[in-house]
Amino acid sequence: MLKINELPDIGDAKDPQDILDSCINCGCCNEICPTFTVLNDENDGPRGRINLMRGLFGNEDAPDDHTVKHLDRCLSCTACQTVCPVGVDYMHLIDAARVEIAEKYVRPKRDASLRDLLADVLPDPDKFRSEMQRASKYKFIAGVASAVPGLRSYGALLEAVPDSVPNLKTELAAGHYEATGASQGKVMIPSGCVQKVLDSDINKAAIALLNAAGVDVTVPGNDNCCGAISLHLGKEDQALQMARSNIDAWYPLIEDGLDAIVITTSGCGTTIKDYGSLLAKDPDYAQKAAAISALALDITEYLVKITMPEPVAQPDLTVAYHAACSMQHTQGVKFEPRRLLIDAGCKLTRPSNESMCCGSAGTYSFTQPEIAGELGSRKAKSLTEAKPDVIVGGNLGCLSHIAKSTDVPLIHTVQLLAWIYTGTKPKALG
Amino acid sequence: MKDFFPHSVFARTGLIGDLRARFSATSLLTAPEACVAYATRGMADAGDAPQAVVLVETTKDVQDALAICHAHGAQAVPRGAGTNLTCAVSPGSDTVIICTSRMRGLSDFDAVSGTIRVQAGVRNQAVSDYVAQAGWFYAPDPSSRRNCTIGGNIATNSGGSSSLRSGVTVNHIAGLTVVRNDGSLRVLGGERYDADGLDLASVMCGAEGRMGFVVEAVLRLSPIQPDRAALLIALVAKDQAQAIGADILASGVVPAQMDYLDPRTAALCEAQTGVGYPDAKGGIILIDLIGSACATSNGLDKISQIAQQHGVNWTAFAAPQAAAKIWQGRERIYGAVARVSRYVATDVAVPLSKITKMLDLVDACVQAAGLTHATTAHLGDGTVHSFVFYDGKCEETRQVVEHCGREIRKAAIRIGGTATSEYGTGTKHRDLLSEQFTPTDLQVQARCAETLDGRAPVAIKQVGGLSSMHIYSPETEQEAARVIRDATTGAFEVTGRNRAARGVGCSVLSANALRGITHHDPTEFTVTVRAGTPLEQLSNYLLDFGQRLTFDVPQDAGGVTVGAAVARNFPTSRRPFAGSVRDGVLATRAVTGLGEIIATGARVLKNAAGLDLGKALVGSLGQLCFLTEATFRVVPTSDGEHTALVGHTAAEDFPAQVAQFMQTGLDIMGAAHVSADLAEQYGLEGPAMVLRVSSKAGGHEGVSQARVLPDAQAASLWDALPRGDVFGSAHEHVALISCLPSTGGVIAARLRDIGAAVAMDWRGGLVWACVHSPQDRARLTAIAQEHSDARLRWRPSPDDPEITDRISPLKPALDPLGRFKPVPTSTHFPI
Repeated sequence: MLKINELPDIGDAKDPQDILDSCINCGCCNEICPTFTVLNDENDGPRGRINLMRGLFGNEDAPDDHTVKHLDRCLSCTACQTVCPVGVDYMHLIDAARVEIAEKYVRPKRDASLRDLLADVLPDPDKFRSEMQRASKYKFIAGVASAVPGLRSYGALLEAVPDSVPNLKTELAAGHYEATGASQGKVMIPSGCVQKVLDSDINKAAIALLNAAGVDVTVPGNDNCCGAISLHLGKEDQALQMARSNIDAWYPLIEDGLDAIVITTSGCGTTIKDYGSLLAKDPDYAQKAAAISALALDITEYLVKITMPEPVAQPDLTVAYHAACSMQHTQGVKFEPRRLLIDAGCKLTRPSNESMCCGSAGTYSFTQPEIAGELGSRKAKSLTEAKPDVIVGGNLGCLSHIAKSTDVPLIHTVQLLAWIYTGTKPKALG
Repeated sequence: MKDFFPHSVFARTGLIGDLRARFSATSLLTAPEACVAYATRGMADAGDAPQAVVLVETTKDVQDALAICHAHGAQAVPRGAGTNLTCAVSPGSDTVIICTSRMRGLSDFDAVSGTIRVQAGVRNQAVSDYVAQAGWFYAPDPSSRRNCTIGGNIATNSGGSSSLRSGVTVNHIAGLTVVRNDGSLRVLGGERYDADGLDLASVMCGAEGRMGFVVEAVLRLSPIQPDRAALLIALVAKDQAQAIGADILASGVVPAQMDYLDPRTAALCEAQTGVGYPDAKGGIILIDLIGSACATSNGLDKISQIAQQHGVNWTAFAAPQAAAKIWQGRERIYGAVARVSRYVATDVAVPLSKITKMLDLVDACVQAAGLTHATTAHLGDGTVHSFVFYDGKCEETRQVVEHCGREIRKAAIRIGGTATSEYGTGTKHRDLLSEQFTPTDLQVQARCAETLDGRAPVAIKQVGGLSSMHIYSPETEQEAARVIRDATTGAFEVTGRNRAARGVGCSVLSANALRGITHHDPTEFTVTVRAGTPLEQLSNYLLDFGQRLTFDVPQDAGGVTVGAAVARNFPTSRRPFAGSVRDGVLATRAVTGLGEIIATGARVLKNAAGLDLGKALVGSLGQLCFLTEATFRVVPTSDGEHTALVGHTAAEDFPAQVAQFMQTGLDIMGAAHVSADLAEQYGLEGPAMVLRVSSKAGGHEGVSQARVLPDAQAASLWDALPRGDVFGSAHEHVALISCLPSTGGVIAARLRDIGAAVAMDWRGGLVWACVHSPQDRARLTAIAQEHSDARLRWRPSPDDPEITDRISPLKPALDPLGRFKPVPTSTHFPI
């Protein structure tokens, strides 16, 4: 059984200027940057963006259109961070830049309203559900909208609306899910927002898998979106408010004893793991935030630490694993999911360009549909090169974005593992 | 006026306007805020932003962009990935950057002979990734290989830490497509070994854009080796590094990489990666061995013995994964040092006997400046990299450290090395060229660059009939210069012999009296020799030290001089595997047609300073300069070799079989294919593959069934094959068909059907054929003509020698008065 360590040190938020100074302009980052490989313009690589940011911080004036255009094109995939020889903390730099832009730059009306819509609707499951109901009536114009330059973002939004809008009844209920057999651990799975509405099956599979492995699971129910969506849209205050509210909901559970906060959407994992740094300057929350970050684990990180049960199903599958950027780059979770899949008896393919982002990147596929579409089809191509039976990954956003470019079924890693260890075959596999 | 108004309103409007008319908004950046991103380079500080950036995709784009810049008198600066360390792509504010980041095409990959055509913006690593499945990789390995482009590699003649075994960029370039200053196109070299202009392609390597804009290159690939092993040696004192390195090289082991890391570098790499570098007082040596399992284990044995003799501790890493891991520390050196502090990096190279001296000089320079450094050295090629640390926030220490870096570079020049071995001079170190070269050298280099780039007149004056018909045999280069400067001496045939002129109205300028070895330190693995020295004499001399030249010396070399070897660049069977004479020449001294004494290159394996005009003299048939001295790379004599003939090998299958053998780690030094009637001479049935393999590498299982030739017979076969002299002397109708390597097997198969005797080399696309009647001669001609890429030449007879029509485009720069005349010859093919 894992033990909770003593409360960790309070994280220290870094000053953007110090991060900028740490960059030596070597250019090692360009070739791994997805937008650079699509556009091949220095302005669309990390080195170019860092230089644009040099003019952003500590500057009273509003940033120019050029700066905003190229910083907006950043996916925040942080692939650059993985290859950076000097360890430039790009993630916190671009987050700070987005806040700076949100504060100083007046966006064109259409752009601003799209961002407001995304920040308003996506994190709120009730609004999201009802907006999808509404949007499903207009889904037929998605193709037309996508063809009109000014409306592409809305076209992409409409395309993303599923054919059958999920309803409240099928969603995962909050509560305690007891382990079958002897308990070897106790974890919490955040309720979440978009995934909760669009694909409850993922968390249901995660819970079934954890229960089968002898782990008690709590789904709080009184928590909300982690704040990642707002953060990436530069709406820092909104993001911090969400973080505080989650901390209020989760911290009592930690005090009751919890081995880990297990996360099944890797994008959220990045943000929750960063709560400590985000709230480092908030005296009321800093300590609790750091404690939560210290407990946050991607579900694959948790699963490799515990003893898995005997497999009950042995599907003979060739599996392409899609490494979400939030896992492989930002959190450095690379080997755990592969280890689990191989141990479970899956044949893993070795897709080319694994470090490349698929273009989903939170709300990016809506704000930058052209680049996202190109990256999505490139990713689908490399994932399907070895003719896999199924593509698995740790982030619903990636899976639904890549699904636009391939007929190969895509499911969450835990859904496949749950099939093997609990016998429930995922619906997507027929 | 131009200087006062560098970009008047009208000129600027015109230039940008014309660029806008040609390029779309997504390919042309003109807004200052967009251009400023292109002020970056691979260094912490940025330069000035250019006035425009063109993101080119095709050769035509480059031509048009250059033509527009040319028409407006604007300076165009090429840029690849912007990873250089010398301000090479740092434009002035009035320049136009032509960026190759969208020129990413790879094509014409020939998986059997290992060649590929790439656009300038293709990344170095992308080439290896593209060809890996077929068992090949692209050998030059600069640290920035994941990002840097082939175009940039060519501009700086990049090397890496594996230069000892694999050479540098120039050794892997088969051809280039270049756009000149005015937008016109020039094709140099190509897949075939005798393609025109390869010598110029070599000079283009390292020219840093001064001779034109490289848009496309044909690269020669290397076979992936099946095994890898490594050794780590912990030193007691730093001066052990040079001695151990020399002993390893002398043992005949050729490591892929052999690096010395001083204690601080080792500690920094260890801190960054934790791969397990010990805290050794004198620093550590890392050795990387690749090849067959037999070769790597032999290497481990020999090197551990050497370590024992020197009384130092060593650890062997016999498994490939373990070897790769121990090297990871060294590979991440740039990050390891950059995390500590800002630094200025140097990349000098010195003769191998001067490494200890150079390490001391670095210490002295850095101490004098009151700074600290971390230093690493490639023990195989003499490159010494120093990272001199400073406080990045203090402008004063910045100037001190830059000065210190320059002092280190000057110190290297003083002890016979070069200011830069791989970064190039860029604009940052350009002034150091005057430390390394004489004003005359630099003038001549500039003239050559201007001529090739189309900025200088190309007319060659024809020297009139007046000629003294004299034989001049100068004893010094000064005397040679005096003879040439004396206009009354007329035109010359350049020769190494003491003979009369063959042509009419010519004098003879002979290197006959310029004899002897001027410098040879066996631990440096180079030899400097005067041009009139007979090759055979040089070979015998080297043999006493257990050394040889990198290329084969022809058996009838009694009269052939060093100068002739350079002038003819004669083919040898080692060429596809170890390079030709061109690859063995490191430096030259020569006298131009204007009587200027020039020096090229340096006495080191890697040199990126100045134009390497010496490469242009190789194969120039004495028509550019009068060579007085050359420095060659030498290697230890091989542990033994044998020649195997494998019968019943069809011509069509031959190229792929050689490639397969190479990828098993077989150390091949020659590969040819002969038709059935030639094979019969050696008691074999059917067409045969002929392989010359080193005995030490092992892994001969695949050829174990072959017939092994007695040494003498093998030696004469390999001597004759590259010149097509395998058909006996009686035959008049000997042809050379040169074609794409992949076409060679097809043509050879067709010739078999008309009963021709055929010999074919591997990789070069050269097919020699012999027929017996005029009718067959016509049929052979018809077959050659079926292939558009094939070029057919018939061997001239001794009675009716040819005068070569090969005139180098550098002639107007090096011999504008036409003093050096072509010499009629009957044996000039193939170059």
